[in-house]
Amino acid sequence: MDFPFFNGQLITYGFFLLFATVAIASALLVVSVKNIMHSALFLALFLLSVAAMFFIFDADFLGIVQILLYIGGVIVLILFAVMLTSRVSSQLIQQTNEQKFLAIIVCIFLFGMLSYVIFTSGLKGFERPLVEGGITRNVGQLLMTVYVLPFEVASLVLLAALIGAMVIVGKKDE
Amino acid sequence: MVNEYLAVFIFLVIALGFTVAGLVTAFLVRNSNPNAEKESTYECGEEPVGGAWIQFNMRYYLFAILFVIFDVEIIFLYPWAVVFKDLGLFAFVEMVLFLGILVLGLAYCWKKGHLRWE
Amino acid sequence: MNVSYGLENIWLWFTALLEKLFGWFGLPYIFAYTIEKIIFAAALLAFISISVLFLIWMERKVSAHIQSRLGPMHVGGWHGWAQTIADMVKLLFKEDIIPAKADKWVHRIAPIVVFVPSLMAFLVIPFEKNLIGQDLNVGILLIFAFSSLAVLAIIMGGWASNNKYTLIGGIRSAAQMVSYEIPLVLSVLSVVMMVGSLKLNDIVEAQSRVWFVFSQPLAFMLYIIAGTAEVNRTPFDLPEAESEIVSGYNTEYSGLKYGFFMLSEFTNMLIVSLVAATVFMGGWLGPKWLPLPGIIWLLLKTYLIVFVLMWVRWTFPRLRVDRLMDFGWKILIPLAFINIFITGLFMVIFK
Repeated sequence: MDFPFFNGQLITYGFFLLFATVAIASALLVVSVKNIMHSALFLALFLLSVAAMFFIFDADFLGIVQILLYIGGVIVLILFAVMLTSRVSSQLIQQTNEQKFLAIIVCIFLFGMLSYVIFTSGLKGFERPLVEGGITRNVGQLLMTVYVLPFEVASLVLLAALIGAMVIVGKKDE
Repeated sequence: MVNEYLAVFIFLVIALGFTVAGLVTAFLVRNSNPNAEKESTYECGEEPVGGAWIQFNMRYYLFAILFVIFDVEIIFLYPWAVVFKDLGLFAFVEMVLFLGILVLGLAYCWKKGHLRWE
Repeated sequence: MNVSYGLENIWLWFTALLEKLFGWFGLPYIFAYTIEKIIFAAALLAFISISVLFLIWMERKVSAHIQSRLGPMHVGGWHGWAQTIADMVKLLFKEDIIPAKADKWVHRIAPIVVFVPSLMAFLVIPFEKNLIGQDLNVGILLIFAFSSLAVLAIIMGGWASNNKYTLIGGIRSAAQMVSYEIPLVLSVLSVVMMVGSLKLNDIVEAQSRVWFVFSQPLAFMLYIIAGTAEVNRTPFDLPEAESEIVSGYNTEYSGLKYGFFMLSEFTNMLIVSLVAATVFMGGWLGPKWLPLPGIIWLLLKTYLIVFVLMWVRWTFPRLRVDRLMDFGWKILIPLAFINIFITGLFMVIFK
């Protein structure tokens, strides 16, 4: 027996729809809630649902990066930054924008452009992975062959970030 | 062929269900008898002075930034470690270079006294 | 090592039966798969709950005997075995207090955020070769990713209570967990270099000749130390240093919400020990001359590590906060880098 729609992909589609909805809803909440801590936490939820979508598309390594680095690292950094800023976390903030109408127009154009690109690029929705055994191995191979130079430059960027952080925190010689 | 990450979602649903069910059960069976005294913030029996949402020390921020930087580095290291067995000397030299630059940064941070917690 | 009995075979037999049954009705494989995973997840939850209840009792017993006490003796009869069950029932019925000044919803959600990721990490741990939630390609990284979410929950809990002690406890805890996560992840990296895979079953099978605890002793030490700090246990239990900040980030929690914070601590300890047993001590592999089921070997090794962690907890005093950060950043992380360097060097030379 063959189920034309009720086949194995249905559950995957269901999870995709669920996480897509959560992603959009939480992204909207990030820019609309009045409490800056809530805003940061909704951002974490948004990133988590993006990670789930990476998993659905078999980009397992990217999903892990999303959780380990973005939620476990960047969101923690943002929460620290909010708590470090005097009294911001207890006050209600105003999430308004003076250029609201301009922003809406730009958003509509961006949405149209992205839709155009997606619908004309010939993407066929759910396709099976390009790589056997996950993408981690592939990423490693590419980093060590084609992208060796960017890989080394990345360490310089990280060094710059490190020094920048020290400058922000201030001088402390001994 | 099944997307094996489906298992992650199934586990997520079950784990979430278990936790929420526990909290709902507790909500149903416990008694609730709040009063103002009980709901005040704990401060060793004293009247609480001010709120807690105050400014924090900057050094926490530096450690958080350091963590993010090293986390990024770990993310680069793992794919490298997975293929390291097949690649050999070249990959080793590349990684020593990559790590060397960051260890230099860490050493600079150490020398400047930023790793000290006081 | 081919054992013909044990849990693994029952599970394999059961899944085969289920798949055949679904095949007869012409349903796609994915339905059988979903049912299998749901049953496995439920069984795993039961295992985790029983283990955690046992661990809490064990902790109290070990601590008592180290201090020449008896510990719980009455509830349930034999050596107070039902003590933690009684405690859990008490927590379930306790009144839930949310401080008036607290951020109510963040306060409510934090226990869920702390507990769910710690359950998720069990998904990729192989109890036996085929007795595993799902042997994912990212394996060990998934465990690290989900345990890094605990930091978020602790900040949420500490901040939402709007209490000075919880906030200081939460931020301290976050800073500590974040600092010790790096040596933890780096110590496993050297094992991954030798295995060439992140799948936990591959890591176990690579140890059929020699365990990594012997070929990577430094990595094992780093892992155990950083793991102890990750789960906030003495000598690294500054986040809940009673003498300084009351009970730390969970001061304002009561009832089952407090229970979840406590349970997640023990769940995390179980994960740290299970991963140590799997990655460094051969997981479900056992000696050839004693063909016991793999799960028994794994649990024996795990509980050995759990016992060592408890022993350490009741033997050493608490570190000072500046020493703690110094130790993490100036000793553990450089050592982890040196270990990776030496491993790489050896692998290049003795290729």
